Amino acid sequence: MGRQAIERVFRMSINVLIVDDSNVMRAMILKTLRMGEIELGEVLQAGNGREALERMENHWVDLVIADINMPEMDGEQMIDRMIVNPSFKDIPVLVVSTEGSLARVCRLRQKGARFLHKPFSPEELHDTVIGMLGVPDHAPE
Amino acid sequence: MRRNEIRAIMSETAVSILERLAFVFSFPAEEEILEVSGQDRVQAGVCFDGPMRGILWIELPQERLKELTSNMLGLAEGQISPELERDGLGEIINVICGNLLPRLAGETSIFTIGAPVFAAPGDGLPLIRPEGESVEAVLDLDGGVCRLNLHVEERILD
Repeated sequence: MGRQAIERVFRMSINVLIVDDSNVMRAMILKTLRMGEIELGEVLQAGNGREALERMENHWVDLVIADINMPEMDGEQMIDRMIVNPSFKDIPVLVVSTEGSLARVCRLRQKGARFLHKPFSPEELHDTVIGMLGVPDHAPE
Repeated sequence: MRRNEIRAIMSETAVSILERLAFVFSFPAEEEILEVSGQDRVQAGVCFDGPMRGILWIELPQERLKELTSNMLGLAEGQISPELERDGLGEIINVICGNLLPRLAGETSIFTIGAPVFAAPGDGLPLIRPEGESVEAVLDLDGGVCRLNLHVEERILD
C-alpha cells in the first residue's frame, strides 16, 4: 500500500472509540494507532460495552475497537445492541481479543465485526484498521 | 495429557506472549526451582470456565513487572505507577490464558475468562480448590523467576 494513497484517504481524521476493561490495553492500542499513518481525531475510551454505547450516544464515532471479555456488558453483547440501533449499525467494529475459539470468532464475523488476536503487532493493527476504513489494498501511487 | 506436555505448552505460550506483548525474552527454567518467595514478588490470576474450569496464576518479581509494563506502554519505568503495573500484570495473564486454553482444549472450545484477580506476596494462590489438578511451569525471565500455575477443577492428567 502506497504512502501517498494512505495520506490521501486519511487527510480527514477519524474518531475512535477504544473499549477494553484494561487501562494498559487501551493505552497500548492508542499508542499503536498514533505510531501509524492514520490521523486520529477524537479518541474516546470505555471500560465495557455499556459505557461504550453511552459514548456513542453523545459522540460521533468512525471506528470501534473493542475487547470481548469485559464486566457489565461484554463486546459481543455491545455488538448485538449496535446491530439493532440504526444510529450505530454501520459503525465498523474491530474486536481485539485473546479469544481463541474459532466458533466464537466466526460468530463475531457473521455479525459484521473484524477480528484481531491478542497479542497483535503494530503492523497488524494498523493494516486491519486501514483495511476496514476502505483504503484499497493496491492503491495507485 | 501428560504433565510434561501441559508444562511444555504453558511454557511455550508464556514465552511467546511475553516476547510479543512486552518485548521480553524468557526461557523455560532448566532446573525446577522449589522455593521462591519474598515481598518483591507479585501475582495475578484469571478464572476460566468452559470445557474446563479453573484458574491460571502468574507470579514474578516486582522489578521485572515494572520493566514489562514499561515495554508494553512505551513509557519510562519512572512513569509506571503501581496501578499501571497491576493492570499490566492482569493483561499479561489474561492474554496468556486466552492463548493457552485453546491449545489445551481445542480450537473449537469456548471459554469465558474472568477479570484478573490479585494476591499479595506470601498469600499463596487463592481460589485454588482442593479438588482438581495443578501444573506449574517455571520460566527464567532475564535472571528472575516467573511461575505459572494452572489449576483445573477436573482431571486433566493421564
